[in-house]
Amino acid sequence: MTQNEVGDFLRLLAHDLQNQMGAVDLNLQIIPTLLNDDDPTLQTIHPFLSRAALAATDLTETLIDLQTFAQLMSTDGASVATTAAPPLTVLNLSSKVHDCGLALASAARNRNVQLQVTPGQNILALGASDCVRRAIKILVTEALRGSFPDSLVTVACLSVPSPTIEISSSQDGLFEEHRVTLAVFLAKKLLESSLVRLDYPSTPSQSTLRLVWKASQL
Amino acid sequence: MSDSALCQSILITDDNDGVRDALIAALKSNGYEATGARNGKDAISKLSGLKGPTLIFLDLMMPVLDGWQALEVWSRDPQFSQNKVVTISAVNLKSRADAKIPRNTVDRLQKPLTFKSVFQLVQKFCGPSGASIAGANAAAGALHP
Repeated sequence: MTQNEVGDFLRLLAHDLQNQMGAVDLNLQIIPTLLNDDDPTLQTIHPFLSRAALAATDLTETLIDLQTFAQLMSTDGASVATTAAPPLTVLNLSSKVHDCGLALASAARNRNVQLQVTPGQNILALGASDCVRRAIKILVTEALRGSFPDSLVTVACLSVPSPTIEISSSQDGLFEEHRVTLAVFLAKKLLESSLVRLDYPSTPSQSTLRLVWKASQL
Repeated sequence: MSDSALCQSILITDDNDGVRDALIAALKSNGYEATGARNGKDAISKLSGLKGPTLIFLDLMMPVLDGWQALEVWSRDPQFSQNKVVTISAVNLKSRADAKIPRNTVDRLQKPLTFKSVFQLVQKFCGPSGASIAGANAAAGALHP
């Protein structure tokens, strides 16, 4: 199979599975609406439906990641890291972090995980805008998914010593250099053209991943 | 017919049988008149037989005739303006630069759909039905806040 064919296959597979998952998820959402609020059956089945709905959401997010990967194996046969690399522009990392926080606020609430976002003020760096946006979202989603309820996930944009986005969870073991998950794999591919380094300064009580831009790129 | 008239029927246009059938069944159980179409061509054919105005949920990516093409056809029909359209698209889908979006496109939803988002729009444009609205809202909201 050529790279194009693999990419096309993955994209179609992800699309079909997403559609099927969408139908499952929707039916799960509808079930409790068919019972009265004071029906004891509703109280009994609600936790099971919640867990099923969360699993459906997780699967949908994995399929979106799969689609992202398939798109990276672009139709012209070149990967993001070669001659077909997207254009680099000056990015406002603070805006991207802020927007990511807004986009994932409800996902965090659904999982009973506290999401704390510190975007900083107009921290700029050079990068491929859409790739950076998607990479941040994939990694923060990964942190939320991997964190137990009542955990704290923080996303901060720092300027010293160089533009950096730091994603942390009070759930340990989430980001480890020797353990590459689908999300980290995808994020790395997306960030290749933006020349971003991934650091793993985790401690026993906190799991941290840093996206580090080179200082003085601008 | 004024722009503020409530819609009398709902048309769910989506090539995903599972999603379409689930929404139709749920809306019917809440007392609404709901019908499905599998693609744009099917939607154009069915719309004329529905009690108007109609609230149309329109998936943009469908085989045979996609949502944009259906909107193009409808935009040439002066009678179409009484209906309300909600477009449905995937997260990564970019808008078509040449697409004619009718003035009566009232909202856009992104996939994956939530029942809560669909139901809120139905209540807004079709009014509350005779069924248990409060129960539907509470339960749908609790599962996907």
